[in-house]
Amino acid sequence: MTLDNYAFVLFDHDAARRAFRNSFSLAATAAVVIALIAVPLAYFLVWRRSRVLRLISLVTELPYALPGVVLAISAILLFLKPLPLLRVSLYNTVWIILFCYLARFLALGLRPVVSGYHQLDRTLEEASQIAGARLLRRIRTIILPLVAPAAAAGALLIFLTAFNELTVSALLWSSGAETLGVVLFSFQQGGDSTYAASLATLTVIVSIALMLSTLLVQGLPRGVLPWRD
Amino acid sequence: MARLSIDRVSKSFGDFRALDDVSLEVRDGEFVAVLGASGCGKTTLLRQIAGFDKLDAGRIFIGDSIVSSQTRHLPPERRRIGIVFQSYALWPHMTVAENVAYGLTVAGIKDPARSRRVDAALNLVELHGFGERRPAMLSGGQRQRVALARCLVTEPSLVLLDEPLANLDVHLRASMEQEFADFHARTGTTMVYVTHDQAEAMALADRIAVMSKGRILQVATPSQLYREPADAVVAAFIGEGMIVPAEVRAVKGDGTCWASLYGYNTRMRCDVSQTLIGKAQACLHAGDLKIAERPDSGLRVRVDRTVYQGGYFRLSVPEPFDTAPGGVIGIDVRGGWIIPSSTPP
Ligand SMILES: Nc1ncnc2c1ncn2[C@@H]1O[C@H](COP(=O)(O)OP(=O)(O)O)[C@@H](O)[C@H]1O
Ligand SMILES: [Mg+2]
Repeated sequence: MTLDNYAFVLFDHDAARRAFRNSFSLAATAAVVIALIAVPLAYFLVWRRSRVLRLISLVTELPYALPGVVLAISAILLFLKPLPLLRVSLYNTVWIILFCYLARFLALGLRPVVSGYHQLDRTLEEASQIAGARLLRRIRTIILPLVAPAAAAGALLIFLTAFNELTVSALLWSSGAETLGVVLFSFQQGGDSTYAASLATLTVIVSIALMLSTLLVQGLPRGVLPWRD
Repeated sequence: MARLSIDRVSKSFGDFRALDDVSLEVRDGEFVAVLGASGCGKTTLLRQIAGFDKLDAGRIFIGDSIVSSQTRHLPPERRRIGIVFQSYALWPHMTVAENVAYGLTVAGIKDPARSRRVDAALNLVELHGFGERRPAMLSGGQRQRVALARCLVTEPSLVLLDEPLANLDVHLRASMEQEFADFHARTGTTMVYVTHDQAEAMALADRIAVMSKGRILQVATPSQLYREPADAVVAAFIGEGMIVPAEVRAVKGDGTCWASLYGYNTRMRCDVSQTLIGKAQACLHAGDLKIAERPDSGLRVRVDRTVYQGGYFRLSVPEPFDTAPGGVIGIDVRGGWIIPSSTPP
């Protein structure tokens, strides 16, 4: 095993290079989008105690609890036909993977934000309300900055999980839309276990680097990231 | 116009009645204190006025417009009032100046005018030069003053204060009390000031609403509350009133009467409209009593315990009065008030 194997998977193997780019973009997009959804969703869940949303939040647990294969098959059944009105099909594109990531990891990103709201004093919002601020401004100027650390922690958890995810994308990948997990698996299947090992090592290095970088960040809420505290 | 009118408001949490048929009129420019023990519903009342919670029954008016009723609920952001929260509720991610400027920004006031008003508000609470600090870097008293500046900068015509001094050291309280009084005198803002500290309420308020278990028992000026409590709970709560059984013998119609305390006859104050005679309760304060020159005159009591209180002694005398020899003194009763609601019909 030499550095050549790393160079090969990083620079020479087309599918592996694409997989790095795809997994990175998919994981980052899922992380950011979910964080942005989780902040208003958790607001209504925790502070407005919306019953409908509580039901929905139970439902968001489902795609996370189910095996990835089940989620992937449901997505295939859902998106096999072209979308109504738009007439485009998500099947066989990278978007079907993104959709599944959003569904699967929403619960993961929501949890830290919910606990962030629980730790926040609601009079902070009420003070801005009394100052005349309407809901959107309150969310933007008061709530978002205060729950941002929790949302960021959730986003990081999502990124780390999605970055080397296999079970969902194994059924959904298409040529050009490979993920790291898929390429790694096919190296291993094809007997190229040295390439597989190099790729695995690289993903582990990225993950560890990200985890370590959070140790430098102050002000993340306690008890959200398991490797801190 | 910032008259505040609370009309028969009730609020329950589950089975628990936190506000029970509460009515209160606050005149324009008046300083009213809501005084009551912890848990009696003071914060709940303020939250109703601010509009954070919907009420179960009754109506609330600010100025001439109805802001809360069963059918109407103006959201807090449109009530144009100021609040100083019990926890101060300063935004930790903003500097002091940003905290104070927030309400002005929301109101669309742009910068030369905005920063001028922020500076003026910080000057007013003697925090000039603290604008760039974060709330976390301030002491309790300073945070409290930032909260006050933030509330005042938009010049609301009605200001609600929820135990604003409860978290401060004793020596800071007196100077902050003075600051509230000065501010009120200068601006004529209508203020509702919630506290559990009767000395604070007495010192600041034009009128005090005494609250207990979700009800308002009496609304009166501080001296009226002290001299003429409406019922036994208020009497016992205000100024350490002592409640003793009395028998009204004759009512004179000029606000005085003859009454008997444990067989000792004395003249007491009573309501001008009082006509009933018979058993009643009287409220006595230490100032109404005087140790008689001779121990065999006055109301004769045995002293159970004396405790030095710094400059004076507190004497405990047990009931029923026992005049067995030893430690017996006579007490002249030179005042006292017949509690109006105590005379049976
Ligand atoms: N949101 C709520 N849910 C249930 N009970 C409440 C709520 N808010 C207040 N209470 C109850 O109402 C009573 C009055 O509370 P509060 O108004 O905060 O008292 P105070 O401010 O006078 O100390 C307390 O017994 C409290 O437990
Ligand atoms: Mg309170």
